[in-house]
Amino acid sequence: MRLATAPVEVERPLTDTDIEIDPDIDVPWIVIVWNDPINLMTYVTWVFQKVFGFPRAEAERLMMDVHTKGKAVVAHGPKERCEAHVATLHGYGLWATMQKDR
Amino acid sequence: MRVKLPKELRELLVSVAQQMRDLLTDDTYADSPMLARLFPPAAMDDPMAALGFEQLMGQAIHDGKIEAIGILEATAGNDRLTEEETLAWLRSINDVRLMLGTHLQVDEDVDVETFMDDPATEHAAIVYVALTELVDLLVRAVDPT
Repeated sequence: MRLATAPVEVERPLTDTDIEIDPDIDVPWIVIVWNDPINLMTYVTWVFQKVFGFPRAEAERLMMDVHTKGKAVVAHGPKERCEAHVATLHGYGLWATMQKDR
Repeated sequence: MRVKLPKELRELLVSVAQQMRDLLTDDTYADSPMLARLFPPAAMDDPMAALGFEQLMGQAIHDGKIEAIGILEATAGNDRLTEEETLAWLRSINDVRLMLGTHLQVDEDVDVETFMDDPATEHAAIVYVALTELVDLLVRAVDPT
């Protein structure tokens, strides 16, 4: 199998506008878990320990924040990492969202 | 992990697993609020971002739930569960709780037992409470501390 490539014709140096930049990529994002009437407090605490490796006391504190305040920030980081966290949390039935950290 | 469950409860697990599989695979349920709760928006007040997430991750999350249900169905009769199987039980049984709880419109201020007084919701409420107890037991069994 032969790999054919077309010659690259560059009439001027490449600039930032030639390369697609995702403006969201380097912005820090946060993951929020929202309270819901179905998930058990013990279950949510366990999920936080399992997914984020929090010690039990920290996981319980976050769970209580979700329960009493309606929501809590459970993680922060690059967009892709937050997307993975949200997907994992949805896999466990928690309601998680993500947004840019302001 | 050793699992000692009455036969009726094991049969119930197979039955609810099948209901969950139907919810996840039958197009008739596409607009169901129960399905919406299993796949909630990943962004608040930003439908475009939520759609973007769904396109990126939706299939993988969906496949993961189907896989967990499959493990529950296959191992409902087992006396022993591997760690992977136990996690699948937890996730799939909790998903069934989400399905039933959404159907019943469970609310933090309302005692679930009141649903048992209504013949229309009695069965779903009984199953919901039984599965709640089972999730609680499983979490205590797997909790590292």
